[in-house]
Amino acid sequence: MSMCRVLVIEDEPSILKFLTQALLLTGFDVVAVTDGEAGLAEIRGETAFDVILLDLMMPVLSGWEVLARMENEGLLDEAPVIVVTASSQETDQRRARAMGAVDCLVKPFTVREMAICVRQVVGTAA
Amino acid sequence: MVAVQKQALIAGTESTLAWVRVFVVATLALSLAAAGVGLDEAPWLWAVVFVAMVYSASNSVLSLYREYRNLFTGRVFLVADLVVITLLVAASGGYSSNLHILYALPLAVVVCQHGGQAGVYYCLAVSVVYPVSTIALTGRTSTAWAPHVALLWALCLLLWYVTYDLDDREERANRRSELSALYRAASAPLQTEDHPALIEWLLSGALNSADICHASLYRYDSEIAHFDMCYSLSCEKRGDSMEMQSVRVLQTDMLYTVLYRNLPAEIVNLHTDRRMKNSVIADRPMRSAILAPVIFPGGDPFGVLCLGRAAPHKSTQHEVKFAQTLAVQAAVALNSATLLEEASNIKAAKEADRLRTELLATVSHELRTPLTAILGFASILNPAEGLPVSPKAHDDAVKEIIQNSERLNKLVGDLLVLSRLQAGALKMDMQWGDVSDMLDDRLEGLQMIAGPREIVLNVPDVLPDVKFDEVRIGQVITNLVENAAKFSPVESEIVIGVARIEGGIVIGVRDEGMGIPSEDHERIFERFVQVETGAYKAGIGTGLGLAICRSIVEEHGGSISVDSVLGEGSVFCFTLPSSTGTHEYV
Repeated sequence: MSMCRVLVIEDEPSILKFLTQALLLTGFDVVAVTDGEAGLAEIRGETAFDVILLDLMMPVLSGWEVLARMENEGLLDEAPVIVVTASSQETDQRRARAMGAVDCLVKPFTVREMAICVRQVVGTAA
Repeated sequence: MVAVQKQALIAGTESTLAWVRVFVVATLALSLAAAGVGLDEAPWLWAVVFVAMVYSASNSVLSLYREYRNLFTGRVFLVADLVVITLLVAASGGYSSNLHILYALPLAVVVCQHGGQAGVYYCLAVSVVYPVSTIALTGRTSTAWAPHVALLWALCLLLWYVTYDLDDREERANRRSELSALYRAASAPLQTEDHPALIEWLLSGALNSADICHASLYRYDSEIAHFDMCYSLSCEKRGDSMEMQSVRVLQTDMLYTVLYRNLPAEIVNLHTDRRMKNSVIADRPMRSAILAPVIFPGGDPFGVLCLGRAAPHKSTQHEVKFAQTLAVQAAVALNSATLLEEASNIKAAKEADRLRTELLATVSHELRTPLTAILGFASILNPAEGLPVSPKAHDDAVKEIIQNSERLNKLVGDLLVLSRLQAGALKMDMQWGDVSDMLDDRLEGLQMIAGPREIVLNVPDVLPDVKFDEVRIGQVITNLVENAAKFSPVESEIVIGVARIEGGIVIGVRDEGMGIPSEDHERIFERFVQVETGAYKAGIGTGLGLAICRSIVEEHGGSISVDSVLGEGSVFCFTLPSSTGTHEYV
């Protein structure tokens, strides 16, 4: 089985670094971008992803807008989206799911929590 | 009120005195007559007695008039006129007398004062009185009086015609002014929500209507069941603002009757009306008044509206209705204002609540970001995870944990400082001093912050002393230099300049960085606002630095602003007044 490829869209450099390292260490292939626009470009591109980790609170183009654009362009079928959020509010998580996200990772989380979540999503998708 | 009582007392004494005088003079005259003192023997004595008699009698009649003023209405005078004129005409030769022309005088008064209809009644009365009295007094029957009466009718019609137009015009002007007063009352809540201002608006509208010279509103406090306040406006003091005074109203006052019965009342003459004894209304500069209750929709009493005229006046039904309508309109307006105020309070409370929730969400997000990095990297290093971490990745993780812990610590510290500043809990240690000394002391530290960028001090030799907290202003400058260093290229200049301005000094920090878009110039001083520009890497600051700077500068009575051109650099300036006008700290 080839390595799963994960797209990470996150504006915080430290968290991006952590996600990248954690995913690499747990056996994933990673493409990391720092804003929504670049993330959308990657999704539209040639490379296929098995899962997308999307931060919701980002300047300029927020995670919400990325989700909305993906739905408009029919990109949600390309790969399952896991949203990463600092909001522990139920409403935000429910809204994200309603907009097409398959799961939520609530900050802060450990490498194990992240890996379980990603593996579950990839497993379900497969 | 005391003055009015005193006046009443004097009037009472005067009327008694008048009758005593009549008695004394009459007794004197009688005793002179009894003593046989004839007019021929002592003409001067009799002249004096005659003058005294006339004086005391007229005084008595006057006091009688004062006492029973209500009886002396226009109608009584008219009948008296007719009787006197008829007697004069009959005595001077009946219908052949020229004195019949005297009938025209009361007619003119009647028509001018009460209109054509009253004139017609007058002429009818004369048409009967004139021939009947002539026949009764002289015993002669003749129709010679007919031309005289016809002349009177012609005069009546002429006067009616002349005054009709005037009356009509006056009437229309009155209606117009009443309408505008009602319109003012109806539109009052659109103007203001503040109760006194609203009442002033209502009263000034009432004052402009018809011949009302005094308008007041007595406020009733339902909790203590007393009238507690009087708002009043008089046309004598036109242009002055409304008078507001607390009042003490006796329980017997008519105001309570009007309010409790929820019915209007009319006072034709304040000076003679017995109900007005000891009433607060009697103090007001007016002679007649209409009182109308102001009751909120729902039945809560608000007070009593009082419209006064300068002369005794018997109000028409229309005038009472107008006062009542105005009072109802006032109640609706005041009630609307109360409701609007409550609604805006609720709205403000909701907005504050929303802002608090929003801030809490932002703060929790800002705190969770470094926490996520710390927990994440720590979990990578956790041996229990059994991850194959390379030595370089290990070092990186440790570095990230330390950096993010520091960031978290700074964030918590900044949040604390800001919340204390905004709650006014952080006292400034204000001392008089020279800013340039402080800058010299801190130059080395600032240069360390700037790193490879060069700090240039541009300070004039002589500066006025200002009162400031050295530590806090130092913090402002440090924050500004930190920002400048963050956003400007290495080997650029950061200039710290100080200049004298009117009333104080201005301190500026200029960089050669990327600049800030003009639409963000105001926003960047708010909490957690970071401008996203190309080279900016999020996570460098807490987003609180400039908010703290603004709070500190404002505590000093100064202001902070930014001037910036995209791609060329920014200048952050703040002022310090040479005498702090807003706050004084020990």
